[in-house]
Amino acid sequence: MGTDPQPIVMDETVLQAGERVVYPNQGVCRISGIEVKEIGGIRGEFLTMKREEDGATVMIPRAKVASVGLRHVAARSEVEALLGFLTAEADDPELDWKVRHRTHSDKMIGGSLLGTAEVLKGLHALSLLRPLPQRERELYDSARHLLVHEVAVALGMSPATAEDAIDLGLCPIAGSARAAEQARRISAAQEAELGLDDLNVAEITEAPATQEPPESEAAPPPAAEPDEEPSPPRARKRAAPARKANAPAGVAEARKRKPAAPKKKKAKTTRSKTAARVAGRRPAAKKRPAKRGGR
Amino acid sequence: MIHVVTLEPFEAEEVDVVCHALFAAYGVGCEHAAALELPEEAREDGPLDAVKILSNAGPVKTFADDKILFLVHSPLSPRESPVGLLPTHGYASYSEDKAVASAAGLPDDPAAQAAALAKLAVHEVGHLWDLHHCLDHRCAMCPPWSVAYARNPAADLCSFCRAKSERRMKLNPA
Repeated sequence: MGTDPQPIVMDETVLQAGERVVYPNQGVCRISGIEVKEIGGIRGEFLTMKREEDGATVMIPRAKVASVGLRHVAARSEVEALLGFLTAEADDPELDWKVRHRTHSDKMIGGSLLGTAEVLKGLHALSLLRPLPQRERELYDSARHLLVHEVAVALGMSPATAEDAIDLGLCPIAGSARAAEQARRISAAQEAELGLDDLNVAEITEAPATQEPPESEAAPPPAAEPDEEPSPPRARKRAAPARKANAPAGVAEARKRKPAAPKKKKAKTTRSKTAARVAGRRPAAKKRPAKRGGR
Repeated sequence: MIHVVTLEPFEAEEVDVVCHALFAAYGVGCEHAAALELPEEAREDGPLDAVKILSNAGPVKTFADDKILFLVHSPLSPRESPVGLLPTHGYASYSEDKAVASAAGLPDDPAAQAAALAKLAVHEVGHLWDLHHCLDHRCAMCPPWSVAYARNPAADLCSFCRAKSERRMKLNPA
């Protein structure tokens, strides 16, 4: 950001009645004054203020003013820098929900204008990839609400205009170059998130389905590899894809068969070998466990 | 209760579509309350001033918690902001009782225009219940200039916005 943010109020004596401050997670409040109240038999001095949007009274014990994170309303230059930040290209959103939750909670408790904007922008970027869970949707709405009202107060405009100014940065106008660029980045990010590159989808789809010979004409299995012997269970597993392909034609035959044994870990190895055969590659040799020395 | 007030001539069918959409979205009664003259203060050389429409149009007889939606055909003047001129299809005073929606720039086909105006009406009235712009591209509370808003003609609210509007109505019944 181009300007320094408003510092946290550490001493309540600098505040005057009628002054506007921002209370983290509550929004813009107007100072009413200091009142003495007796609560639970204990007399204490409270800094009282009224929340601007609904007139709710907020009371802070005088000794805790420094720790709650009160600050003055952002300056105009700070808000203008913030709107520039919202218009700039967003970073990739954090996909780990635990990290995201912790980061966003810290920023909201901190209550700074930039922190709230970062929460808003981060969740907006995430929402372009996937729908937000309910808790994060509420957090997004809360961050937006706080930001809209502070920007409106700081710039002396209505909340409707403040929200439109914020959203003009986040959501480009339909048909603009920024909208096209955003759509391109979203589709690229969605493909990356699905991991299509890791699956080698193109390679598998290029191999024609008829390349696999029928079971009766199947070529003999490759010569026994020097370090492993073909065993009956594995032979059955190798033939499995062909049987699966013919399944619709031989339902009765399939009923006569014994129920399939529960799959074991080897199934993954077999599947990868089949995929390699389809792709015309030799399957990787299985590693033999090293013999123990001394015998 | 939501009162729809036309400030320029509108077809009765079009206003009916708007009223039905508002009733379906918020579950409160909606009626075409009056057809009034456009206030002189809002007339400028070009587009209309939305803020002046809200402050000068009327009077409309309502109860304390009623909402008023003004409908106009003429375009509304874009508002200035630090990020440039803001496209203004409608305007609402947040958490208060008046909003305006303009049919300017909507499709020429009467049915499509009525549907688009109904969606805009749902959007602007949503701001009166303190709904903010929504992330859900199927929700009527999407920013009206966004790509998602243009792609979805239905005037529906997402479950989050619907629940929030219901909560607001319970706190401040209309």
